[in-house]
Amino acid sequence: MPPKQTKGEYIETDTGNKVSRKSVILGSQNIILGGKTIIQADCTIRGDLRRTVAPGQNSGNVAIAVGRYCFLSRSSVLRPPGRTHQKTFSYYPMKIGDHVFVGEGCVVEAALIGSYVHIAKDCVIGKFAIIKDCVKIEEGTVIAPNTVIPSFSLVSGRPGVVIDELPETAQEGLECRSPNHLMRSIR
Amino acid sequence: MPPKPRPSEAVAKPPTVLASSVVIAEAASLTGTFPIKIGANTVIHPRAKLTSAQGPITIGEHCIICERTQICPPGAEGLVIEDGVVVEVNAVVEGSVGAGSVVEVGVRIGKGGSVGLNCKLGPLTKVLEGEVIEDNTVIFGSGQRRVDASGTADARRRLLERHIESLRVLIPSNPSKFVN
Amino acid sequence: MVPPSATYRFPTVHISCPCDESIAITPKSPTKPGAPAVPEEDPDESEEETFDPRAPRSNFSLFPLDNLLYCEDCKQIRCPRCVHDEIVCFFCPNCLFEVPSSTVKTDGNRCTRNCFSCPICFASLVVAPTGEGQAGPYILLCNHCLWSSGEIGIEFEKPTSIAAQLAEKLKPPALARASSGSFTSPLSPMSASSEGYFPSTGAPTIITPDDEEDKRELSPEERFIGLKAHYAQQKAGAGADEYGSSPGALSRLMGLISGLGSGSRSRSFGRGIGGFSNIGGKGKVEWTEWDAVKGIGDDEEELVERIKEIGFAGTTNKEQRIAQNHQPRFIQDLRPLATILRTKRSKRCRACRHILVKPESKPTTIRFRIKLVAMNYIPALSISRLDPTTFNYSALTPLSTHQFLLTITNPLFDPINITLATPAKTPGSYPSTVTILCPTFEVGANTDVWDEALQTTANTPTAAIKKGRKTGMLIGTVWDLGRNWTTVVIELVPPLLPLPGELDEDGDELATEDDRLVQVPVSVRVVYETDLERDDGGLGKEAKEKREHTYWSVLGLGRISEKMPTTAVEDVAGPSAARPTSLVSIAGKGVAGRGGAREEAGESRANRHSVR
Repeated sequence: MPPKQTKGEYIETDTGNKVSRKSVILGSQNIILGGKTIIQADCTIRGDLRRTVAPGQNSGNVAIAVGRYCFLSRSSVLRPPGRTHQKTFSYYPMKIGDHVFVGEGCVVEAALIGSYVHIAKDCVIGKFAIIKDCVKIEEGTVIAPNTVIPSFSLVSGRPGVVIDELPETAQEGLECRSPNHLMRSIR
Repeated sequence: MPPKPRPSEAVAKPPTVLASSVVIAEAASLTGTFPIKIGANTVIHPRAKLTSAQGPITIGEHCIICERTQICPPGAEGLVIEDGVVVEVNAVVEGSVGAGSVVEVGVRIGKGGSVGLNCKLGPLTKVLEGEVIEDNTVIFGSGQRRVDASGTADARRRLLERHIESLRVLIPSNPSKFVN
Repeated sequence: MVPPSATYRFPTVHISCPCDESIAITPKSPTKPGAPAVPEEDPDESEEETFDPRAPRSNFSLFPLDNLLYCEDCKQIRCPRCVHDEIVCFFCPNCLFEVPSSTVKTDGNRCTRNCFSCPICFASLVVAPTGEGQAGPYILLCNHCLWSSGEIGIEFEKPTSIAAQLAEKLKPPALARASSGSFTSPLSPMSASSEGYFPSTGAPTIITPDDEEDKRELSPEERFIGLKAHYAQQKAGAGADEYGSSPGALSRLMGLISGLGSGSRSRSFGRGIGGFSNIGGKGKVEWTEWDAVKGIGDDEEELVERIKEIGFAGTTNKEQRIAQNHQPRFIQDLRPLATILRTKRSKRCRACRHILVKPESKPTTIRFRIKLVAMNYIPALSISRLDPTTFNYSALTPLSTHQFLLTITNPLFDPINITLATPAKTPGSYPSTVTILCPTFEVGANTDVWDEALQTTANTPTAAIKKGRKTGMLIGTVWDLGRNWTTVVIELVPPLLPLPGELDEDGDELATEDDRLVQVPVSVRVVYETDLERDDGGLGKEAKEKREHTYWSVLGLGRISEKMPTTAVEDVAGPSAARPTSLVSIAGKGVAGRGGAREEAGESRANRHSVR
């Protein structure tokens, strides 16, 4: 490992994604990163847990699709959700929108995360959860499986429930375009 | 990027007894000196860590041990994970777990803890050192407990078997790496 | 009362909405903008003009910039207090289906599809098959705590329209009687509730002791279902009945029951009561007190017996109880909670009635047709530390100088002139000393990011102005600046506070947790010139208009540490002796003067901090 350090910690892809060499990316052929997305050290992304039943017409074999300007902090885990449907178990693709921040140590098994979503550190997002656009999830929240979180929600608790509405400015506030903003979120 | 074999491979392999139908990813880590026994149809995800430095590990049949879990017995009496147990991501298990129980994401089972049959330890909950959890207990939220009366244990078990069948396709197994 | 340090998040910047000032909407211009650092000011005068972040009323006027709107017609900030909300649409937050308002009126503000939350842990429930394969019967199952509707003996035949099936299952036995002709029965349990006063029209004769036993079991939903069926029946058989002949009265009454009456609530309630009294058709209204009839003693004995049987684990906690309409004491009596609908709302300025926010009505979209938010109109303030290394905002060392960087960011497309002013001493019984090193400066326009890159360097003000970062800290120079932002240095000397636990003669703490929070009021005056009405005037006109905007903001710079500065401890024997005497006397005055209100204000403010 030491000789690689000289090349810098991050591998940059053609579309500007930065992926830490110290992250664990399994089944990378089933993962799509939209561009300008950052994946920090010690992250685990389980692209190998793909669909085993015949996929729909157009879904192909993508297990995890991440949008642009997303940030996966240290030690976070992305894992497609799985369930038994009509007597066969299969994993289902996980889709993540743009400007999604995933805090340190989070474990995400959601089916869908919209855009402008901020997940603070040490959260657990249960299987098949659906998180719509403009949502903020507070530190240490556990979102139960199959939960739907509508837009402009502030979520907290175990299990996580909507405790407040976000203001109209949520989209601007949750944008993660500038690295400075991100570094502040990480602290 | 395929996971690299760990540098710790040079460390002496623990004596292992793996059933032939075990699915164990190459990137899983089995270390220590005491024996590690894994039952039939059990799935060990990549990056799961089983450390038998302090005592023997016994894992039953039809179990799923997910990535980033740490299973390390606290002492020479060892640790037993019975049949049909699911240990989810980030869990730290230092005590025994009864058959059909689910150990959710980020759970910590303290040293010498003992979890009964068909329990469900919810995400990020804790079992204290030496604590005994009765059968059918559900620990949820920030440590609340209740008795599971939903009667879904059998259904869970059926789903688990199907889950394992699908993982058999998805996870390339390499038991030979762990046998000496 | 307040757990120290851990719950706070510093620094904070709040902006005061002037809507509580009844006299003038615009706050008065601050004191001597040119020389805020001069400590010699008339105390009375400055007290009148300075915004006091510790005043009890301030709690209700301070908001983060994100939460503020801006009315272009009033040219004023608008906070959640000074806008009107109007519902654009109702939707279920779980299935995200829009619910028409007529349905909300008839069926109540809960989802009527399959959306339920767990009565134990409030996670959402899923419909799960219990039979082999995916076959029924079905139950509602919580994937978090494994509660299932099977535990209260409810199973469903099909996996769809659960709400309707559940309503059917919870249908009270009383309803059967209602449909068989005895139309008073759905009403009588309501009268029998412990709620006190109800008009009665001979109802007492109907309630026999054994009937009462059944009826007490009814939940409000059951009563609602009963009443609904009853009135539907009434309406169908309407004829000579004066109540039934007026459909308007019926819809008002239905509105009242479903909690969403058309028109003013109080009015429809009044009429609703009138309607009640006529239901029996007996005509004469009588009011009877029902407390005496309800035997509480028997109830309690029964409860005690049940608790003995089930044990503590079988009882509900407060959250579980209040979430249910019938407030059950036992887990066995809990029902799945139908998801409460959520709304999308537009917002109007209270003063001029113009719309400030109008979201698109589709529940899942995040777009707005109109969105006038303050962050696009007034400059944003942010605080950081000059030397960011190993600094704890929650433990400011007393009596030493702390330097913060205050950055003002301009959202406007014209350059702005900023004048900052702050009282030399912060308000409160333990004032901190504050100095803004450069109170007047310019902030560049919020041009496109590319303009800066494409422009020649000579045009930007950046090159011409000396930056403190390069030249060292000088009074009157800005620290740093960029395209549309400027940073100045702000110096703070926190006071030395009495230790926690030190009491005055009344037994109150000398320094409360609130006193430890450093809150600096800063008046921000913005002056700029802008083109007049670019839309209709055309570009050729070049008419400029001078605009001015002033607002108070409050900077939460941190919390003063309990630790003594090391020098002071060394100088004198004990920590209490090290305290300047003047400070103690101020403290005594302050506490004696404004004790109770301050306590309260401190607590609510602390709550707000912990929420943010």
